[in-house]
Amino acid sequence: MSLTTWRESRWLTEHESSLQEAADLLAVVDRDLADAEVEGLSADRRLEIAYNAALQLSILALAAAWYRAARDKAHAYSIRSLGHTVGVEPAIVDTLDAVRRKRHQVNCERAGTASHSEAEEVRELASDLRERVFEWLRAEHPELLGGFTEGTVRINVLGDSGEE
Amino acid sequence: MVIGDATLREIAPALRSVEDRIAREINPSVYTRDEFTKRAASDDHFISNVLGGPRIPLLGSADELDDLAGESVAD
Repeated sequence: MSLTTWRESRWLTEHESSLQEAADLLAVVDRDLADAEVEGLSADRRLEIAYNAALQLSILALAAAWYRAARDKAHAYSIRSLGHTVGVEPAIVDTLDAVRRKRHQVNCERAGTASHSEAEEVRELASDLRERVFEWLRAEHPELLGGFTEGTVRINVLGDSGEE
Repeated sequence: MVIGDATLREIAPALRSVEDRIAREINPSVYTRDEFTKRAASDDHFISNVLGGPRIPLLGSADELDDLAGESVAD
């Protein structure tokens, strides 16, 4: 199934992405990757924050492909779309989807079911995903990475040193 | 609940095919041995519920789990 088929099934709607949207989403990702490392937080909360970083990356990649998930099961379709946009392997998509469900569980149903080892693994997954989304954007949608002013978002966004 | 060195990346894809087969969600909780014993010792809400409720061991035994939960108390 392609994203076009998803749109025809009304799982996605068309969406016009922008440089500003990309910068805003990447700022959320970088904030959450940093917050997920904060000591003293519960494992539930750390997992939830790291998951959000991965979710926003999936939304960014989908937006770069000119789509947005429809309201129903928006998180699920956003995460699952990573296989179609960035080419993330099914095993990683399945893992992130399991984390999506776990995030709902810890947030709404049952406290304490996340472990710190899980939270750390999700943070690492999200961090790796950030690199992959970046490589993909550079190759496929460089227009969404250009034009940032030096010293502000560009340094964060590109993950480069302060030399820029 | 999985206690050991396994990762979500190993477990989630394996469970996916089982979920499809039984048409039911399985939400794993993966703990290292160290984190499990620490949380058991601290009367963690979730771990206490698991230890105090009915369990079906798939690998290992219920006694092993109880012993593991008691390790940090014994230390």
